[in-house]
Amino acid sequence: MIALVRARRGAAVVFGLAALTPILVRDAYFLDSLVLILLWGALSAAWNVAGGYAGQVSIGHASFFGIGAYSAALTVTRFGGGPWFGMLVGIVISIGAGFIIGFLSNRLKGPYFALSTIAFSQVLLIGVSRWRGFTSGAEGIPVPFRPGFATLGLGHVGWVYMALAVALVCYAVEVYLERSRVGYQLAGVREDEDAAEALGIPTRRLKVGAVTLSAALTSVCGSLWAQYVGFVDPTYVFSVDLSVRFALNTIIGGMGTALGPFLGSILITSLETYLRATFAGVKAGFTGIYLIIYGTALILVVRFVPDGLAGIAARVRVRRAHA
Amino acid sequence: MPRLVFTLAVAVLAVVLGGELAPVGGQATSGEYKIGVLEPITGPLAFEGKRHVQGLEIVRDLINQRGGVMGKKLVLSMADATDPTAAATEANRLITREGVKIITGTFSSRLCGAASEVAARHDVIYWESSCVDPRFNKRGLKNVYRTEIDATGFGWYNIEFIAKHLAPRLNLKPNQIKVAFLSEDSSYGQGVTESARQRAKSEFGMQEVMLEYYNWQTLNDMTPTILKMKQLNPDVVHHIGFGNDAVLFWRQSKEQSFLFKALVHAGATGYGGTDFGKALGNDANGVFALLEPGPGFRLEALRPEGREIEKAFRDAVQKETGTYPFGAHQLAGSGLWLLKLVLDRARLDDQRLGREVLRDRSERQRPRAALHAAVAERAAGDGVAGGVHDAPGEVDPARRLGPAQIGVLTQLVVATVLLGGIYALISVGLTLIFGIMRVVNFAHGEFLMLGMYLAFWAFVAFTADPYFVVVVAIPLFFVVGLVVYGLVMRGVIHASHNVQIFTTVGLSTVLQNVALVAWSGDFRYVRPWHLSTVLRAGSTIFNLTQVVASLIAVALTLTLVAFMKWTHAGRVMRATAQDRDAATLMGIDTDRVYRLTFAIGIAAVGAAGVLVAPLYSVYPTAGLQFVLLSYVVVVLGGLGDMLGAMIGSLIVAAVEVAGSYLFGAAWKEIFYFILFILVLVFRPAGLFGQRGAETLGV
Repeated sequence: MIALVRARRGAAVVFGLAALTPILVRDAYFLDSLVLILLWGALSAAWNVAGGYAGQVSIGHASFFGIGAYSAALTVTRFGGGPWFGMLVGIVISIGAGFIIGFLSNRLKGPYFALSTIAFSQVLLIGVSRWRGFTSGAEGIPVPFRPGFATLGLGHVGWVYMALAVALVCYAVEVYLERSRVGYQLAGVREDEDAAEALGIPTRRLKVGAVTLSAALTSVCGSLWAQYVGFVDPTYVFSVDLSVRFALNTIIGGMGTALGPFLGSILITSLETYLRATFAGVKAGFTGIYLIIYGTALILVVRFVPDGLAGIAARVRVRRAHA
Repeated sequence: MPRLVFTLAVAVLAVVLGGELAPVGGQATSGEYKIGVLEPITGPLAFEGKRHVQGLEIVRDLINQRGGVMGKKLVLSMADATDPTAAATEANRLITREGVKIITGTFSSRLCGAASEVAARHDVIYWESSCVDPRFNKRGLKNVYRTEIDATGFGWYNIEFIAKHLAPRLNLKPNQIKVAFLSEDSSYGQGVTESARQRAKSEFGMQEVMLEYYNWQTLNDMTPTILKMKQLNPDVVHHIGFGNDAVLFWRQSKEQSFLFKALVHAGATGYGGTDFGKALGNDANGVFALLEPGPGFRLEALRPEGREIEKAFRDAVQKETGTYPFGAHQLAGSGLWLLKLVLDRARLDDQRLGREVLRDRSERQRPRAALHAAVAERAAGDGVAGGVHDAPGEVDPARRLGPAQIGVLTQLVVATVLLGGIYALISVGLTLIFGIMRVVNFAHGEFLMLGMYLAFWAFVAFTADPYFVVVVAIPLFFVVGLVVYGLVMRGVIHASHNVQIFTTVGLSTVLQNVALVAWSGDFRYVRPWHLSTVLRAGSTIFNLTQVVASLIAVALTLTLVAFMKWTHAGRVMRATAQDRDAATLMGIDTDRVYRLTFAIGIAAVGAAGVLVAPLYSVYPTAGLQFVLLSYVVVVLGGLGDMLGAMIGSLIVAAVEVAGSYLFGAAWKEIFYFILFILVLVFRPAGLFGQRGAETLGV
């Protein structure tokens, strides 16, 4: 245990602070931001499994998020089941959808794969919007709040630990991919698929596996989000904006690193929340300034820190070791 | 009264009494009373959010001039909510950081749905002034109030109007009336339309000849829908539109000589906004819109104090915006005024407020009656049922030729070709940037949007026709392309596609919001004289602006094909695309090649923006609907194949037109996205591209 903490000092600090915060702070706004940081971090980590470790950069991960959110919301509102059961349903459907995206990943590369995943999420968006009788269409579904763990009706403190738990699960999957044989094989697929295949690595199966695992994790987070925010509507849960957010956190934090997605989420989520709150008070016409700053920051980070925050940390460590 | 709960803009709808809670006075000492405001100030709904905020600020000032709220100065604490997550977060902030006990807002049902949940968990009152989702106050939340009529009410009144006022003037019994329901597919449109359908059928037995939903943000052509509708020959079109789509439907209906007797709409957007009038001028006459007190509202029907405050409000809005209050101003403003009345009487701001609201309700009935009188009188005064289009002597030549069906197929083909022309025009720049150079640019649509704004401002400032502006636009956007390349793209041109994707996503966010801050989220319209000019060949109709756009697309494509094939620069571009390293070894300055390509591509899309500006509304997120589509076009046609992209545009347009006509406008995109995925999987080189071309430069 101690060895583990020492080896993963950064993660221990990040998750440890997250676990301590609800004890020290009771401010709902702060805790809400923390829940979102952890949830977006977990989602980015899930994306990282496909995008970072297997090198299959998707901009359609909102598909799985939406599947998870709708599965939970519909299970609760249409079938009177619990959100936990809905989460399971979401996982099963997402695995199915993950196979489709995995199949695409075997046929397509680079931007073509990314574009096909966007198209996939758009197809789901239109389908869910139109199937009004079952999904309530574009009107969305208000998810009832019923206090209790079984119904996922938690307070802010409860949600911090729930989000922390799912964040830790996603983090553990990432660590496994860094350490295990499968993980090294995936790295081989990412770096040079032909060479990996020549070495006898089942590249196709691995890619499909990574995408499917990533899909299932994303779906779990989607189910939790639906219960947390309490309103599911197709234009948001299947949006390209959301898919971009998952990828963005990871790229800014460091692709293919276990802690990167969480570092990215800390930076991006707090930057966004802070800027939005700061500029909300200015004259209505100027509120958009926060998004200009946000967008500019994004361009700069992607440009000047291509290996992400985790990359900076690694470089600092190397420099210190040499000194 | 059949249903007491419905009133316009003044009545408080469902009210549930809450439990007893100790009043919390954190704000009592400051002499100020703070209310949280949650509105979509950025993003695609910004045009509406901005007006809500204006209305709220004006009423806040009126309230403060009249002694404030509960004897304290009213202060508004603003928050921006673009999506449900942001709405929930900001509601949390308003409650915990700003200490508000009441939040008001929010326009969209997904925003108020998420935010009111948060408010409920903190026992904070959610005073909704504009969301119309009927479920909003039926979820068992004790803290939720709404001052606006809901979607069920809108639909109910629309059918009431058709049955009681339109039918007699059309000399028809309600059950003889044929209604076509057309609606944008957001929560708002669906709510109103479904409620209207239900009442039309169950209570009056009206004949529903059509039901069609569409996505207002991705709608580019309504011809297929109109052609289908024309054959069904409805008496009344029940259309819930947003902005862009209402204008498009009205304009294209006129083009296609689609004759209906009346169009009924509900709400402050679409036909209900003065934007509609601005976009169409005199052509805009003839719509029946159920909305918040509009210019027909009779001030003298109000009690003296109501008259005074309404007049002060109108004057203040006039002074600030230069127009008569929009529905959005009215909704937000009257909601806040009503809140003040209730607060002043109740002198508490917790859930016990509910009782006060109930007690107050009888008084709310009176202005409502006045409003009904106003609506009825206006309808009578306007000579409604004389009909919108069918003045004597104005018989459409297309109809004389025989049954309407004759020309449908030809017209659909024409619609495909013209729409394809627009798509080709928009995509030609991307063929160069993505197709040939393999640079992923997700900000493509934003340059289109900038082109549209250029056309708009040139039209406003110099009444310059877009066809002249385009001459200026090409060099101007060439320079813009050079600058953007130097500042943004140069650093990532050799980086992976992922880096390029996310750089251009950032660029797209920046450009959208620069437009939002500089020019606001309002819909703008460019109306050159030739916009409503149509050419006729037999029974087939061609919109002149679209014809010109298509011809220019062809010309532009051919020019670029020639440029790529026969000029040195073109050859160098192709060489660089095929093998960057080899090109460098041959002494080619690849950086210059990329810069040139990017600039030409941006010049092309900027010019496209100028040319399509008259056809669509101009607003900060106008480009979004064309980005994905352009990628579909470029990939379908075969990467880097300019003529292929031209054919790709026609295919996308054909799929869209046929899909809209056969299955409904709501499904149109699903077909081309599925086609897109299938082509990517089975023919990744595109339908006409060289096999293997897709792997070049990846």
